[in-house]
Amino acid sequence: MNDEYENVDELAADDALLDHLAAGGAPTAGDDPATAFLSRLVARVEAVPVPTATVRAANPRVPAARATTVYSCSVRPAPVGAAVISQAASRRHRLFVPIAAAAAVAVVGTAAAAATAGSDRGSVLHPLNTWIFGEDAPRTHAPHPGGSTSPRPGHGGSPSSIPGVATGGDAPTPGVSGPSQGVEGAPGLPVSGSPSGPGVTEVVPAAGTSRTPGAGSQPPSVAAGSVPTPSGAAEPSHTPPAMGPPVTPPAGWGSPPPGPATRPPGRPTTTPGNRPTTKPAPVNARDPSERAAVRQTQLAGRSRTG
Amino acid sequence: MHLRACVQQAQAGDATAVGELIAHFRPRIFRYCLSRLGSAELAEDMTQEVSMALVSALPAYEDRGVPFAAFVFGIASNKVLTMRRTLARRVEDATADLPERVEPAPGPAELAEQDDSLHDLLGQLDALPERQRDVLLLRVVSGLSAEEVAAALDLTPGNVRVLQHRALATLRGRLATAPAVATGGEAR
Repeated sequence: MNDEYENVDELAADDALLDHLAAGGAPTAGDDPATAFLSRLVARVEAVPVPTATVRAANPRVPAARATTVYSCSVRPAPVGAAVISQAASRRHRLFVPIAAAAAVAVVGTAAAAATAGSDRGSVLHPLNTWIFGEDAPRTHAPHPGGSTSPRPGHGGSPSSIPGVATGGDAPTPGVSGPSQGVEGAPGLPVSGSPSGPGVTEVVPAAGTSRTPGAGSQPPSVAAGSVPTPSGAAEPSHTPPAMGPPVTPPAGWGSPPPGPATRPPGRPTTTPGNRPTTKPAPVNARDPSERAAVRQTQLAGRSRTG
Repeated sequence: MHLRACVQQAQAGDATAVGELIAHFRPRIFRYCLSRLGSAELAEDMTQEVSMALVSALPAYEDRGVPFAAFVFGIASNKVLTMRRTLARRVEDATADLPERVEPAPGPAELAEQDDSLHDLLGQLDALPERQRDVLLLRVVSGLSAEEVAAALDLTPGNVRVLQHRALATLRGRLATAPAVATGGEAR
């Protein structure tokens, strides 16, 4: 900071001016425009009513084990007659509650009337780490602000332990669609797969796709290694996949030369119509009988091409 | 209760003292947040957040001659700065839901008019760098001394005086071209 380049007298004058304004002093005639401006700004800011509700709220109906700590939140009306209790800290965890349920918030403090949900606004400050309104609801997919207009599942929210209280659903916002008004917590479509849903995609290789020379049969494809889970998501299986029925390679190129019935380890490609690019495993890695068979094949190939 | 004693009791876990501390600083925090964020709704939320951060940080406060107000507004300044960065990335604009019944408080029209007026005033500060703006508002809105501002923002008092001097110089230059803003006349 270039302190030494500033005029010390001017610094002191400005400091005194700001001290005067900070103490509530009014600008005098002949003051510079900045003084008048700052004085007006301070007066304007102080004209805005300070929310006086510093209250504590607790809902004994929410079991502590299921409740989440909402340290501070604001109570505001929602457009559809519900109150919005939003956690100020993150704005991510919003609870949309009907007026009746919100009114059940026990309010203690000097501005109780202002902080109940029936009023237009109020604040609930709870600094003492008591469980208050809310529960540890599963995170729903909040609509992106100004997001797409296509329907999105999962907006409905989840049931709460408070009767008639739904969590998660968001207020109707222009540009954001969703089946829920945010209040009743209409059950949305499942976000992740359901047990009956198509949790696993099983890919059966089509005939004519990649076939490794020498492979007599091939286990079912990649996705068969996944097993369905109750949630519908596919998880890799730790057990070897069941072998599928032998697939006869198509006639034409790639008639399997004599060889072991099992496919040698390698990296199959699934690009149809392409020349197989499976790189055979190193000869040394195989057992002696297989090694001899491969060697014979290679020799035969050389004699054909040579 | 004296502020220092109140802080000590709050640090000892006295809930009443915590409440008194919050009640004492809350209006000042709110006004500071309002002047920095320009929205009463955001300022209200931010006041809550600063209050909670203050309560959480109370045990870490050590009285080493730094005024407690500097400790409080140091937290507030950091929180507001974070919020401003967040807002800069956010496309939505938070607006208040206005009630549909008669209220003794200012109605939507009055609120909108006040908001416009406040926005106009705060808009004049947009030309200032973030630090100068912060210093100026901490000085005049929060009522901190130069030394307190220095402690809050981790600067020296000399730095603070330079920053506020430059901020005032910039303001004077701007207001010379738009005197109506300073005097409250019709600027539009």
